[in-house]
Amino acid sequence: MPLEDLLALNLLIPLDVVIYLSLIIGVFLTWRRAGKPRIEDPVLAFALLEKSLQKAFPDLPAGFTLREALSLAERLRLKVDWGRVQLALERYEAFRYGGATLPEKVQEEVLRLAAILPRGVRVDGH
Amino acid sequence: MLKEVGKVVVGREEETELLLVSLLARGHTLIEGVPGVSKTMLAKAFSKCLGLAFKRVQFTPDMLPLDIVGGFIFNMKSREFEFRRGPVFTNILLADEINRAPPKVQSALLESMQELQVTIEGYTEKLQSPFMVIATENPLEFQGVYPLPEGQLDRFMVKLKLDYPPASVESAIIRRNLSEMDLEVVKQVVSSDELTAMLKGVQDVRVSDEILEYLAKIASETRTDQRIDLGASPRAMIHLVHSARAAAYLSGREYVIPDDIKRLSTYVLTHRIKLDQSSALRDQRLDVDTVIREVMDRVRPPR
Repeated sequence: MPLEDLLALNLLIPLDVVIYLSLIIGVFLTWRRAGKPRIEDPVLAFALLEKSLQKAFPDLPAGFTLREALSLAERLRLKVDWGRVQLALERYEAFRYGGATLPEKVQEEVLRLAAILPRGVRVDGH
Repeated sequence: MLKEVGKVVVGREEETELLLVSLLARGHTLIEGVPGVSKTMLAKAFSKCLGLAFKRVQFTPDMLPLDIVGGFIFNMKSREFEFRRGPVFTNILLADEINRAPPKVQSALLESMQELQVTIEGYTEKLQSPFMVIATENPLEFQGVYPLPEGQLDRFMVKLKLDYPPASVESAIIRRNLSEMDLEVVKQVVSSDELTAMLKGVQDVRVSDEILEYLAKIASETRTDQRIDLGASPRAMIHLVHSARAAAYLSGREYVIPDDIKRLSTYVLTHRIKLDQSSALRDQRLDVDTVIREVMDRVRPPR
């Protein structure tokens, strides 16, 4: 085999490695994203949170507000950035009742909270 | 402002805030409380903080409407009738023990509250702006009193109940009163221009359609509850939304949220709702506050 062909063949091997590696990484990242809850619409995010809060506190009356339920959830000492949850709620309220523009990317912590809320907690916290 | 009022009235932060809510919403307040729970001092300190003119009238059974709104007095020098303004011409009028005055006097005052003007013998004079009546009544007195009828109670935006303070607060009150209490320590913290701007700011607070629907559902629920004889009137709901706007403004928001409505519902609705007597007899513990809370628990707010 001529030397030029041998060099070309040897160069193809790292190229193959790069192609296969990027394919594997791509598949892995797609799989990870699919595993995470991804809701772009804050209205849906808060609807999901509302359902989770109702499951977390089944004793809540029909007339509960998100602020009331979140103050109960805060007492559970979950590992959530409550500052970001509060900010998300305020922006959502500004959109919902104040006619502000739809907030973007503030609902990640809200979704995280919705995912980790326990079920069947009594309103007194037990 | 809470700090300034707190210099002379201990443990009444919530009530002070509600007085401000009522003033900013251009409403009037009824305070129910036994004697000696700082009703008068609270009203005085409140008006002093805002730099508003304040007058106090002790209502008695022998009063005449003239004693409140004023009237025409014959001037011997000029030989003409002159209009002499009554104590209603002020910014904040403390109507102490309003239920001691006969209905004629009560209605003269309540007419001024509604119309924000006084008309006597065809002569009309507008009241000062802002104008707010803080009326007090003692819940334990039954003799020599003329209870306000439902239609007149409805004119008050907010009703506050001043109970005895808890033991910890009471000791602080006694300690503070060891030396003579002087209203001079209370400073004006809101200027006239600032108050005007606040009153205007409340008008700009937005109320969404969802909130209006929520209010309509609450009103309907109070009218269909079997335990309630007289539900919330449309005026009650208007007062509720106005007070919610003022509360939202004080919270730094430009829009009303369901929590504002829920928080104020007890204060705005409690004196307008009349319980069914048979329900009240069946359950001795049943009171208006409990029924309102249960109504609010049943009505789903927008979320």
